[in-house]
Amino acid sequence: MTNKVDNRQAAPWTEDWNVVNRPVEKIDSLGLATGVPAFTDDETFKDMLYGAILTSPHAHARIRRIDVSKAEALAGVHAVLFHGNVPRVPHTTAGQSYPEPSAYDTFMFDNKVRYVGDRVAAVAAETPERALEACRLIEVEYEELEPLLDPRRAMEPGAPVIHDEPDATVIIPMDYDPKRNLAAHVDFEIGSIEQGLAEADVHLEGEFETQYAQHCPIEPHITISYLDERGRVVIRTSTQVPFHVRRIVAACCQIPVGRIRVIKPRIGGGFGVKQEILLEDVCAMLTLRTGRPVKIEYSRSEEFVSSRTRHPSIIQLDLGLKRTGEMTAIKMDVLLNTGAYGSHALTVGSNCGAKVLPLYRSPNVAFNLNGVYTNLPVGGAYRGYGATQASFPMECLMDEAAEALGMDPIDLRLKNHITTGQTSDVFKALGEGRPGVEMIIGSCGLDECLKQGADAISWRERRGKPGDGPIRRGLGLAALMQGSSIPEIDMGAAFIKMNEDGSFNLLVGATDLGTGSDTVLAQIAAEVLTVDLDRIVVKSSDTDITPFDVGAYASSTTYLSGMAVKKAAARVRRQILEVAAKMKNKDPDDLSLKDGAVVGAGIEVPLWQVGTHSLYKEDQFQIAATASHVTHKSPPPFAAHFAEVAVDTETGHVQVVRYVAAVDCGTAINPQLAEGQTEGAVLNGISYALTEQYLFDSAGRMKNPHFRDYKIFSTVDLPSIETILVPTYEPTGPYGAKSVSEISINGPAPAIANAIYDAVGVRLRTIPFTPDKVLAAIEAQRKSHGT
Amino acid sequence: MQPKPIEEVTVTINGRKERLAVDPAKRLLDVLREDLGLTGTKEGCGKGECGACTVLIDGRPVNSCLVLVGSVDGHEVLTIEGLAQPDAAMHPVQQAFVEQGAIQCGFCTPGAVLTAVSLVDSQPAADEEAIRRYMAGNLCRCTGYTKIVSAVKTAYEILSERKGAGRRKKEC
Amino acid sequence: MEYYRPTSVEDAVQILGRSPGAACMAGGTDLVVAMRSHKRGPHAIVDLSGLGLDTWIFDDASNRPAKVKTQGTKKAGNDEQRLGPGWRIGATVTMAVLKTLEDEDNLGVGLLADAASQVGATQIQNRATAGGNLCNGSPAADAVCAMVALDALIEIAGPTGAETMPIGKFLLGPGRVNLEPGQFLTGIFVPAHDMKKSSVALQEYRKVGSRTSLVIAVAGLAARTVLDKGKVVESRLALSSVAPTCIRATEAEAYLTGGPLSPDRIREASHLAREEARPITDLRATDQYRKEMVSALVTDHLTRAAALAQ
Repeated sequence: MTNKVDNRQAAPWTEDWNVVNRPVEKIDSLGLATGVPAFTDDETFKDMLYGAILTSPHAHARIRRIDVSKAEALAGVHAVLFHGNVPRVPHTTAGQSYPEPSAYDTFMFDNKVRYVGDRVAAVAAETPERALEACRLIEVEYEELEPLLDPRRAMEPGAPVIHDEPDATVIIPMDYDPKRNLAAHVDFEIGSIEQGLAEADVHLEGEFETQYAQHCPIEPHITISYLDERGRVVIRTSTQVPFHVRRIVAACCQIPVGRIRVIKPRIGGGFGVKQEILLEDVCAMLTLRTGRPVKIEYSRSEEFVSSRTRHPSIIQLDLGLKRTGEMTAIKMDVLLNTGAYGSHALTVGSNCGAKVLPLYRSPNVAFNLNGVYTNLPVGGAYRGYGATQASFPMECLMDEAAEALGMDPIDLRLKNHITTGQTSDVFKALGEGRPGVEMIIGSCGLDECLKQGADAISWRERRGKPGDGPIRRGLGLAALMQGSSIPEIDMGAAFIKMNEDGSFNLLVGATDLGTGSDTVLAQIAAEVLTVDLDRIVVKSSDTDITPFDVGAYASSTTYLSGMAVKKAAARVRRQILEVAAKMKNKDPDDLSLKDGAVVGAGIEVPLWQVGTHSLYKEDQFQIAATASHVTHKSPPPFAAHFAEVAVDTETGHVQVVRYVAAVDCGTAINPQLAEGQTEGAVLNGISYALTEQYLFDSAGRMKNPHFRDYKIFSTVDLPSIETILVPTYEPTGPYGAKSVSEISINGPAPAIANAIYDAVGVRLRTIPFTPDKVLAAIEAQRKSHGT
Repeated sequence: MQPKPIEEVTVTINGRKERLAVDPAKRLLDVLREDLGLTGTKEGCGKGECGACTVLIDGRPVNSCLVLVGSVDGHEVLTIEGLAQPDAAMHPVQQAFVEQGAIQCGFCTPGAVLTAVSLVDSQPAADEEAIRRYMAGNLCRCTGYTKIVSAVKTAYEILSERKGAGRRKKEC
Repeated sequence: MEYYRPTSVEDAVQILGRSPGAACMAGGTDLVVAMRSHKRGPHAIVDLSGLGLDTWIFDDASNRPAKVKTQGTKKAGNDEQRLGPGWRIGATVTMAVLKTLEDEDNLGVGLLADAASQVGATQIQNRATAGGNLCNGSPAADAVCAMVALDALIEIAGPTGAETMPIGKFLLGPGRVNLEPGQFLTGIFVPAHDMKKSSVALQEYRKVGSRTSLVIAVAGLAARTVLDKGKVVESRLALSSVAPTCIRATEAEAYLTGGPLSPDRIREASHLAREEARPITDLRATDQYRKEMVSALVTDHLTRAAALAQ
């Protein structure tokens, strides 16, 4: 449950909320619980064709010859696409705001393949089996090229050049040098690292590695496209970014945006992997070619191999600290492996710095990012977005620093973390493809998170007591920050209209990917309009119907789109008051809304009367308003995570026995959903920390593209996650809200690493902490201690 | 007489006997979704590793992606569509999933609900560990399972309340 | 593709005789996956679920002159022995049913129940069968490891009639079992391993994987240790995932039998078992890690067995 604390800012907290900050039931949960048709594939289309994609068996090869004639001749095959018969449009698959800060290095099909799983051709046929058979009939002659599988080698002279095509480019000013396999570069130095380290009493440094991982939405990517009665292309797709899909498909298929409609039904999880245009362009092109509905879906193994992943990273971190615990220098050097294409390379890489470095105050900060191409699967947006990769070294090294200084790790963080009223030069230095935006922290509950989390897990009593049996126990923590939307880039819009019964239609471009954002946005509208939640009818994510929204990413929906809803609702409220004032001959400024009625100046007019009046009685008009919202800040949510582990010193197995996540997300618009976001992120983070990884053979082929050997956590792998929501009030957010969905995936890797150290005294710097790795570290330590 | 291959399958689905003239080697999952329009059953991996396609055969949860429809000839299949009462009242497990916030994207929900139904039907009580063991075949990437486990506990409570209420009624 | 669902063993034999390329299917948990990934493309399926082989009974052997015929050796057909009491388990008995086999007297079958309870998740346990687990020939099969520990016998039907063979002769290697064309597995016989009233026994299946459960074993141990007056009177140690088939650690067993479970002897037995393992490196673990796990599993089991005897 939500714990109220006393350190909140005064005024806004006295507001008496009726719908907001309450754990109302998610508005779509009843339908989902009863299995009503809701997802992309739950609807059937007459005469639908099935698409299949032929992918590359080679990590790096040029297509010397491709013959699709046998496939085309196969009965039941209606179209075959390959590089020879589709437009060549350089683009990025990253669903980001235009102009995208990702390289335009991707083509619908190309005459070169750059990783095992890269697209070669696509087929539409009467049955899925026939489509697969046609793929097998496509003859491709490859000239194999030397693959580049080691990111450390990517920029060496003589390394194979992955993007040697002349038309790969960038459309914003950024460091891009494909001849050196450099997909993205950023660096800056604030103050002087040299001086900062010289002034330090303690210098900690280390190289840390994070691995490939996949989002694993239980629903893999799926798209169905068809022509409507006017010949426009309708794309029904499992996406987080319907408006970016529309724009990018328009470009790839060379048709106007106005000829495309994108509908996002319920989607079976996204976590960032559906912030990518992966099937939509091919599916739409097949529909354009055949005039028929076409469905393409990824199998689970295609989802692993051919969709998107978390960018692996190699991060060198240096910290300088005074004996007192004051920080004098932070230097972070990131080598980010973006795989075969540069999707999100610059921005994920930048966020390694932007979402981690400002957490601790230091006069001297340096950051260097090289995002490099390799012939391996493609990185993309993944919940946490760089902060996951960089929180691991930062929070591990902070633990080492605390030990070196003889301080409690909590105290070291309390001493250094940024807080309300403070700023960091990093905010200004690092943006997303452009300089960042200066920001003063408006709300920070990290102190309280650290204190309440420590109490909940009995930090002071239980830490440093591993026991002496074969199973050792340990505690570890991590402090975290994220952001809330991308300032001055992201835009969300909402439209609200009133009906004669006093109900409202809320139309939002924002994309509910299972997070419950439809519910949260409805709660905000209901709060402003003082009605029950069931009076707000939400329609989201249909590009023909709803206003624009950049989509569900960058922890933006509640904070950004929520503010658009709040503004639109306030405008509608004003119109309601004006109509009521006219009806009763009063001054609208004397009136207000209360419990679904206009009150004040001695009158009480129920909303249905206002709605009926405006539509049918006098000076008729539609009470309606639209509002857009752009922010100038990206207020960070903060969190403190605490893990207790049991390490089996004979098998190396690490079991998380308790996990406490204390989170400051401002006001939780819906505490139950905020807890759900936290628990889901923590579970994913623990699974990432302990078991998830891509295993490749020497030719760059993934060996474990299935849940049997890419293990994601199930119910038995961990106990219940304990979430503490620490309320603060963010002045720039709707009802004081900040983001919550991403931050908690960043904590488990460092918190567990630190807990393993507390248990068995070994420091692990490479995720995941698999049993063999843990056991080897324990044995190496035994040997070095001569026992 | 030579044994002949079978060409049709008789299955009771959601209480209705269906004579299906389908390929007996077709997966039950595909028969449900494609031939019967019961799209509440989802496919997440096609290899029996995620549980999204869970249905109950004779009351026991199975992965319908691993079941060929020929092998359920003469058996009873329950899908999520057949779970709610005909008067549209939710099953206690569904009610608990909604109340406890155990549903995020909802893609794994039908399968998880059915597994939970078979648990509460087959075991009079279950502690957290037993619930976690029983539910381990239903992967969920959204919730972290905490609220799913609470929902199953809540379902037991709702059931025992209903039983209590039933008893009281009888006593009256 | 033709789909047969025979209702008698005789019919099944007849169909298989006619269609040698047909695939036998019990629960289908492996076959359906293999067919979907085009690893197997049989022209016909013989679904064994209608044969009534989904039950088990305890056979006290009071009036049964059973014979064991081994094949594949020179003296095929001559190697006969009398069977004692035990459990006759149909080929299509599911893991869910196997795990309910109670064994209050520690006669051995509890070990099989323990292993069956660790095969996959609830949904898999409701479909996967004893026969399927065996016929897959996976060295990682949990229930098979327990059967190996218990010296189970394999019952086979086929064109030349019924026969029974020791499990060690049935398992040939990864994906390979000793079935002639037209033959299929109808059941297994798990002998009851009696023990004195004064004895204590620890029988259990333990495995190590990348996670706590629901994993394919990186190494597994099906063990039954019976102690009487402080000495080991029966030692059964079967290992999964560390050799081409599930194997017995026979040297360790022989070493343990007759002696006490002192820390030194436990260490030596673990070492012997470790050396008997012949693991490979694959994506789940290295051969070295697997060997260490054999040693850890055996040590852990014997240490707890010793404690039980105290």
